Formats: sequence, C-alpha cells, structure tokens
Amino acid sequence: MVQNNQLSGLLAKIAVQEGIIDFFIVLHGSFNQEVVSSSIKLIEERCRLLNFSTSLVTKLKMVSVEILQNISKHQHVSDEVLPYFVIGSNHEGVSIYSGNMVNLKEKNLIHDRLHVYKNIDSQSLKDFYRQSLKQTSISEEGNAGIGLLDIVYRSNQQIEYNFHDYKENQYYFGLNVNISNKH
Amino acid sequence: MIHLQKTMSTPEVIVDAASFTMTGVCTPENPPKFFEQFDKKTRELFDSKHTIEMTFHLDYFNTGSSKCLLNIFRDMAEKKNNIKVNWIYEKGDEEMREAGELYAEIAEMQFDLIEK
Repeated sequence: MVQNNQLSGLLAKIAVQEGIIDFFIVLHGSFNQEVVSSSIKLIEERCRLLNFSTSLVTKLKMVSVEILQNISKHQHVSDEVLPYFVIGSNHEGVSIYSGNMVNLKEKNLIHDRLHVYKNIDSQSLKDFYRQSLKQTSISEEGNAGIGLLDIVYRSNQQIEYNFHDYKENQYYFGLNVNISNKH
Repeated sequence: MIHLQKTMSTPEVIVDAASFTMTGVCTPENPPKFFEQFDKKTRELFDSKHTIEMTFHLDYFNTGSSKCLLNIFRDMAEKKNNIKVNWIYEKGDEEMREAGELYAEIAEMQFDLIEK
C-alpha cells in the first residue's frame, strides 16, 4: 500500500528490484477521462522517442487505458491513500504498476478472476478470451466486464497482484503488468 | 449523413449513403453512448440494396468499444451480401492486425486486412 508520502520510496524500490532504467509516466491523484486520454498521449510520445515497436506501443496503450479507466470508474476517494499509475522500462520491456482502493466485493471479484486468468494455460486463456468477447454483454455504463481478462491476455499472463487491508471494507489493490519486447 | 469529429478519446466517424468510416482512437468512457450516435444510420446502411463499404482504421480501442464494434460486425454478418469490410492497421502493428482477424472470425465475415 502506498500512502501519499510514500510514492518516491515505491519508485526507488521498483527501480532497484526490477532494474527499471526509465520511468516515463508517474501519476498519483484523482483520475478522470481527461487524465486518461492525456496520459495515453504522453505514453505514445515517450514510446516513439524510445523506438519501441508499433505492436508493443499498441499493446501498452490498450493495457494502460484499461487500467486507467478501471481506476477512474471505480475509484474510492480517500485523502490519505490516492491511486497511482507508473510505467517504467527495462531491458526486457515495459512494466506498469498501479494501485487503488477497492471494497470487499470488488476485491473478491478481482482476485477470483485474476487467479483463474493467470493460472490457466495460454491456449485456454486465448479460447476463453474469444468466448468472452463473443458472449459478454455491455452494461449501460459501458462496462464490458472483460477489462481484467484483456490485460492478462495482452500481457501473456505476466502479471502480479496483491491486496492490503486498509480499513473496514477497504483494501488497496496493487497490480504489476509486464509487457515483453520479445514478441 | 453523419460526421463526428475525432477527439482525444473518440474516432472520426463518417456515415453516408454508401459507406461507413471510423478513424482514430476509440476509448470513450461510455462506449454504448458514443456508438448510439451513429447506430441507427449504420443499420439503415446495412439495408441498402447497393454495395456498401465499411472501413475501420483504428489506432487502439478499449474493451467496451470492442464489444460495440462486435455488435456492428454481427449486424453486418446478418446482412452478409454487398458489404465490403476494410480493416486498416499501421505497418508492423500485429496487435491491430490480430484484432481484425479475431473480429472477422467471430463475425464469420471476410475482412480485407490492409497494412499501411
């Protein structure tokens, strides 16, 4: 969990542990659609400067927009613990780190889905992704319910996640998605 | 005719008597609300007796838009005849090429995948 005064500490820890050589976007605060769109633009420009492949850039933008819109749509306001979204690159590719508050119902839903998506074999995930795209319907609010599945699918299951208890019915959801530059 | 200008999160959409074109980024916060703006006109287009051309040149999209696009492709597939679908993607963009292939497979339609 990242208290508001602990973000710089988190960045330093990530940099050392993951060998991050460049943080190219660090967001910390309240997220809305304008922040999401501007951030994706910034990510795109940064990727072009770093000469990333077109496929990697598209994949990164699609995963980023899902994470950012999830946070934006479902964020729970807390003055003490705000959401964050960070992207860093190392020699293997790009890593995305995010954190935001969720309630118990959301925690259970996220855990159940990610546990399945992360642990099934890649062909089963591919089949499940196609089936879900075919079968799920979209809510009036625009939620297709396949955002997490899309993130895991596009990252080839290279994700880690955790939950930290914060207060009653409040948990901090940390997500790390790695996108390799090998594919 | 419908002509929606592109924004930072929505594509340019042009629907006229014989064609539909969607170009740009498609990540609206509420995709059904965005697609609703041209839904009726697009369905009218599918009823045309003449050949119509559907062109999609998307940079990237969110999962909500993905579902809305699939709804369009399914409606197209029901009509089947006289519809030409162009799916344009940037050179080397395997991610968007695969998306076109996947939609074509799900809708059971022929898409012309065009690398630019």
